[in-house]
Amino acid sequence: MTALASGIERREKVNRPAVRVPAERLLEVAARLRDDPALAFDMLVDHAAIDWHAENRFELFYHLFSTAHGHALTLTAFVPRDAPVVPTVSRIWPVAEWQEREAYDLMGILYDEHPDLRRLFLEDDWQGFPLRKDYRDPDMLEFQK
Amino acid sequence: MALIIDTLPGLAEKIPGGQVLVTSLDWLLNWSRANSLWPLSFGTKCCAIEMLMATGASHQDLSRFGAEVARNTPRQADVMVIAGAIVKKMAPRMRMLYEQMAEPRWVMATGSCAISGGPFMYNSYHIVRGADEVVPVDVYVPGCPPRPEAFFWGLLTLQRMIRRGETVRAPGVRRKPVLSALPQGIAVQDIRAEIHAALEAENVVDVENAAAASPWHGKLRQWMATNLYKP
Amino acid sequence: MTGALAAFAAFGAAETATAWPVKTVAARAAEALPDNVWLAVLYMALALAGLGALVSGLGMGLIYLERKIAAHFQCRLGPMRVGPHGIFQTVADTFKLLFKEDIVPARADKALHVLAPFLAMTSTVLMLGVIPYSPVLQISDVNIGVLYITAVSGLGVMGILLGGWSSYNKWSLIGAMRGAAQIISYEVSATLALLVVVMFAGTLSLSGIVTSQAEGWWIWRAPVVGGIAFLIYLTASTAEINRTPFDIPEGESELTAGFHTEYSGLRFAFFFLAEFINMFVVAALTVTLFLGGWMPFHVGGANAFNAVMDLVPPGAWFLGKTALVVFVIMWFRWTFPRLRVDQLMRLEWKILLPIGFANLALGALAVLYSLYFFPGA
Repeated sequence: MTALASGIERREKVNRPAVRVPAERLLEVAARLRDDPALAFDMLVDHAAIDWHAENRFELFYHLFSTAHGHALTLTAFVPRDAPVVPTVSRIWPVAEWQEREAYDLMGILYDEHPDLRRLFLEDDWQGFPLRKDYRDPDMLEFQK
Repeated sequence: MALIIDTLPGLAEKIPGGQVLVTSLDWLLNWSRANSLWPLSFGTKCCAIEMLMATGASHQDLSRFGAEVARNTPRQADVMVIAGAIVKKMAPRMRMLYEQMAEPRWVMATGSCAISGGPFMYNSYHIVRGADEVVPVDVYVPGCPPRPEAFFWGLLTLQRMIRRGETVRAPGVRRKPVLSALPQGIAVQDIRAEIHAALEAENVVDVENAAAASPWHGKLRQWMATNLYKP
Repeated sequence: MTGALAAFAAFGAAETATAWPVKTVAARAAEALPDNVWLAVLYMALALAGLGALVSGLGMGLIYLERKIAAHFQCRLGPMRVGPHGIFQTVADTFKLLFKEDIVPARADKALHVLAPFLAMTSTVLMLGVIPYSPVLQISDVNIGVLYITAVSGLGVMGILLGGWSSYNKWSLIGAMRGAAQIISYEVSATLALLVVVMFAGTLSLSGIVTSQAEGWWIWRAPVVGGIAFLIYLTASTAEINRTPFDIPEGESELTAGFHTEYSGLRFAFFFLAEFINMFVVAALTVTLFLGGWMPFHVGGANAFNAVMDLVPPGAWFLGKTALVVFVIMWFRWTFPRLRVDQLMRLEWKILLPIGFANLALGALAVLYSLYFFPGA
């Protein structure tokens, strides 16, 4: 763990153990988390993004679980709002392929080297990313003034 | 046999005394259609669990009304039970299924999402505000989700409508009860404030004096003390 | 022990041999033909009318019974509103289907689309014509009855295949292909089981098979082999008529409605009816071959008991036994989950077929050395 420790902060405010990782170290940390036999996080339970509009960045979280040991961990990475690019972890956990498609579809996060990055839920020609805080649509009555 | 609908009643009207035949045939048609409504299960969200699954289960039994034969193909179904919200991606497909249904066909919109967009009416970018934006609806069943008994009320209403003669020759008047856009001069915040005020006015509970105000509270406490905590 | 065995052995002694002469409607018509052509025609017309009444009455009754039995298996009530306890439910269903719009998909092969349900219905009705319902109620006793049955039941496959192919719908096609594969596979096992009875009875004609069970029904008189053949025949026939657990071709959760997805109104009613009448035919054949047909239940040597059994008319015996087998087939539907298509094929080719062959070989040995359970020819 000490080899991973540089640049990684422990976030104490959350209930599950969580670590924050710089975006450029994401792949290496993820691979290590899966392959290390003491950690063995072989299951990516969920992955999505949080839009911190005030701080102008997205927080990508990966909820990991180990079926061998039964422990869980949350990995988070921040990406800037104007360049939300992060490497894909679908080579490590194949389930991430669709989870990253959902994050792209609803939040606009781009993933490097993703095998098939296109919209998952919305129509293929939908404009905009609805779950961003600054998304406006004529159907959203609350914002009709 | 669509031939029979078109030619036979027309013939009967021309025969002297044939009016009786028309009305008897009509009565038979309407009776048989009302009592054998086969739903097309179109469950998209939570209402499906109540409207399609719970009503078909043993506790409330949809098959008592002859409607448990839920065919999955629209060609063989009579009534499309819209159970759940319709999103914009689903709307063209729902329209296609509706058009594939064989006449005579009816539509029941169950649950508030299918009636008007429901809880998503104000803020959703993807929900269609009511199934009747897409298909003509005959019966609206309110609730979120409606209880199975409410669904039976809707089904019996549809049966009554059919028996009264809304056959394929005379489809009923379809009304749209809820506006999908707000009227001029009203904002969502106003509606919310009004709802909040109404709730506060009616539902303030005075906890300290509740026991004294209630006639049965003391008896309930006594019953609980004697019957519940047995060693 | 030996006393019980002796009593058991006298189970089907010769004194309880049948006292009912068999006379089919076709035979009556043939007799009347040289003297009185119109009488012969009347017989055949009566037979046709009877078949029509049987198909519609039985169809409606069976569909209603299926819904009620399914409901009671699931601790609910079934149709209750349409008439007392819902007995007019199927009447309402039938009228509604009759007056529904008739849809033929635009790019479907129209001729085949219209033809398919008639083929399904035809094979069913053809089989109804040779079943011995009672000594005097059999329309025609073809002397190659079993061969005829096996051949005609293949026509039903044509109905399914044509229906699926002509609908221009990929779900229908998949359903039809699966249905065809399933039916032609299970026909092999069903035929092997039939052959056991044919070997024991020595005749292919159905009423001959029934009368050969005078000393005991083949299900227990053919030692062990009969019981196994009965089970194989029941399983294979349930698969032949596309009933759960073998209803992949119309698997509702997988293929919308399989091969009859694009059918509505009257032609769908034909498919629906054909399925239920097929169930009756299969039950009737099971009863004819294994359970003694219209023969009452006799215990060898218990003359008083046998006399009481004889009081019930043979037609009622047949109906009662068929009703029991129909109930068992319906019971299967609400007990077993559906088999996947590869499990289905594996069941037939790797399990039922070897057992069927072994059964047939053992049965041949039993016939050769007259190893019946009970003495008597």
